Amino acid sequence: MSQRHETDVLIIGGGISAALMAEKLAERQSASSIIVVEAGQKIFDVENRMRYRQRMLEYGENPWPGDTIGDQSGVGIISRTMAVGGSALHWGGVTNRFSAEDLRLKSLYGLAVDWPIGWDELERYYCEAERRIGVAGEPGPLAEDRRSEPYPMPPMPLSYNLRQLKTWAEQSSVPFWGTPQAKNTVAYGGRAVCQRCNTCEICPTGARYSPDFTFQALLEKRAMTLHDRTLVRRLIVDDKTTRIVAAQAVNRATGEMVEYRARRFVLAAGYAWTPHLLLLSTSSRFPNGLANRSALVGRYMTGHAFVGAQVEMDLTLYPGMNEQHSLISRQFFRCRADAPYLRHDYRIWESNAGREPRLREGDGGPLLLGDALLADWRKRTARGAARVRAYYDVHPDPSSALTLDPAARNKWGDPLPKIEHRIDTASRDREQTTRDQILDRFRQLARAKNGTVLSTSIGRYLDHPCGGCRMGTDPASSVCDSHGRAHDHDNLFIVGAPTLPTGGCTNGTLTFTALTLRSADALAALSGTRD
Amino acid sequence: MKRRELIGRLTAAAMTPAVSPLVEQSADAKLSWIDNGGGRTFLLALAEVVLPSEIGAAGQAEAVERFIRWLRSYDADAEMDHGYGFTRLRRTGPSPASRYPVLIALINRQTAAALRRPKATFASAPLAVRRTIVEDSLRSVKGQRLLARPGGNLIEDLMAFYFQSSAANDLCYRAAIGREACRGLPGSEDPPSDF
Repeated sequence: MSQRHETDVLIIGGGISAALMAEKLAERQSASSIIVVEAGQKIFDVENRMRYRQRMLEYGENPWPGDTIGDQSGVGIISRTMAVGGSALHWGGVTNRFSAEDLRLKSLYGLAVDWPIGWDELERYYCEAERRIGVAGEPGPLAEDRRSEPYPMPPMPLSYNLRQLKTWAEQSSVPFWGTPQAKNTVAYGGRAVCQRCNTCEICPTGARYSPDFTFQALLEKRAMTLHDRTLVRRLIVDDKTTRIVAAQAVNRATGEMVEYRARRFVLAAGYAWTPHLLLLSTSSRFPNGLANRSALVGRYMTGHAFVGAQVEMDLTLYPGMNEQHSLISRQFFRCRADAPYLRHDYRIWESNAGREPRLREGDGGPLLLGDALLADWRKRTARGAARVRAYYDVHPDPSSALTLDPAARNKWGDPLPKIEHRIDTASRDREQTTRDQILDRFRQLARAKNGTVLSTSIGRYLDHPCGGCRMGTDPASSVCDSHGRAHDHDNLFIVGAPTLPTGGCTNGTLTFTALTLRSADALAALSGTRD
Repeated sequence: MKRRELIGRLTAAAMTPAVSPLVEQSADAKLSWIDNGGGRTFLLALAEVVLPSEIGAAGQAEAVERFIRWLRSYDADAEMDHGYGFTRLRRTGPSPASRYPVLIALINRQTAAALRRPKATFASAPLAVRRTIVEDSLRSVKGQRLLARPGGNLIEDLMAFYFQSSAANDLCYRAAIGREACRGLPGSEDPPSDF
């Protein structure tokens, strides 16, 4: 080993879960030292983001230059970003909560599993996550969505387009309101107010939260140490116990081997790289990898399926006002226990998809130049248009798995992950009915203002992936407890996305972070205790 | 084969990226045709054909200058956006401008032939002739989609550059939407002001 570091807590991964874990542990002074290790590099140049944004708009260039690792990928992953901040560098900032039903699927519907945590408890951590990230939102009208605390910031104003679409959509008797957003509608967390730049994947002003801000603040306070460009390749277990004693890594910049020794280890590397590292960490005592007595590491990989549509209606809209903001209805988060199971969110965006300027009037049609092109474009956009989408609840089969792919290795020789999602039999059996019912709701929605469903689409992957180290009370059927503490290794915490038993039917990031903050409390409670 | 069809095929061949005959040159050398080879004049004459008359000659000239600035600031082999849900890593290709001088020369020859005046150029030709030549040149372009951004076919590129812009979006809707501007939250609940 060329380098060796000792720390109280080692956090592996540099995304949003890692950032909030580090922040909370530092605040609680529950760790004498914290090191965060991230395989990707840090991109802490907020001063360049306006330029990056402009290059993205004009040339399609990457607004987060250097945020990938060429040889670190895998089949079935959803984002190539590996940098300090993780996928939440370029997220849209949508911070929907799951609903109480997600935690009691078995009890209420006889489906999948119940989560080992109650709604009231999770709700408290949702509030904390919203405070830490900085969420702007308006409470929905449904009693089931009651909150114990108000949103930290007033809601993102509905653009003119969204106001028109809300009025239109509510004629179908479904209430809609603005999605909560991790974007500043007032100065918050030392960051500026949203300037409605319409490019939330690269927010040039810092109004949209991303974890790099948290890391920078912690580094300025010297509350943690950050080792970027350092890829952890193995966790090592004590010879005589089941405690993790070390993490072996490589400095990607120099090729030097690095060893971290810590009292406690936090795996915060997301849905792909967390189970991947556990599966890589084999030994003669643990031939199937770590935390894997149940053989469930990398199993029950999940997310949510989706259906979308383009709709046109008699409205005058102006595409481009705030394309990243949307309406949501949570009316269908609930499903009566005696009705056929169907739970989904319901989103509406302003959209001009399929109505862009074109070169020909149809395939093989006459060429359109200058005035003719403009006239054609205006004619096709005279009516308003919207994109609608529903994420619907599906549940993972045990065979929905992340495995090590022997055919694909990184430059260090480690096999890379391969994710193959499979939904369980019950989800599969009802899938066609589910899609039909959602499409029927789209058609009902479109009736107002002479609306027309122009096209529909079925998602071919599971979005907002999670799972792979699911939590539970029984070590035989789960990898970690409700706090993310591995059943097999009492000083190893697995946090965030991998711990979810099921993926809900709306964006998952707020849930990942709420669970992480709860894990942080459990880890902090161990401070000063003998392990 | 009719002359018109021949012109179309020749032009299409010259615009096809795979047959670009240019050797690698410095970025400045590649763009010298703009000021020294009559490129700007050519683009202005082209703009009159392919951009809307509603923006006037001044608006067309402004679009051409913006296009030239775009070409000058183009970076080859830059990382491209991948983002959430797009896992293929790509890099930008060579500057589309590297193919333009050949195409401009060809179109000028076509113009001279069409007018039976050896010294005639596209820029000096009447609008109707320019329009015919542009239509012939685009005849072999398949599909109805306009490119998302310039890709090597000068005529399509100028059209894509303008019509995919925030300014064109405003023109289409006759409203100052300012899609790519940072506009602040106040006022977003109101319709955009008139264009």
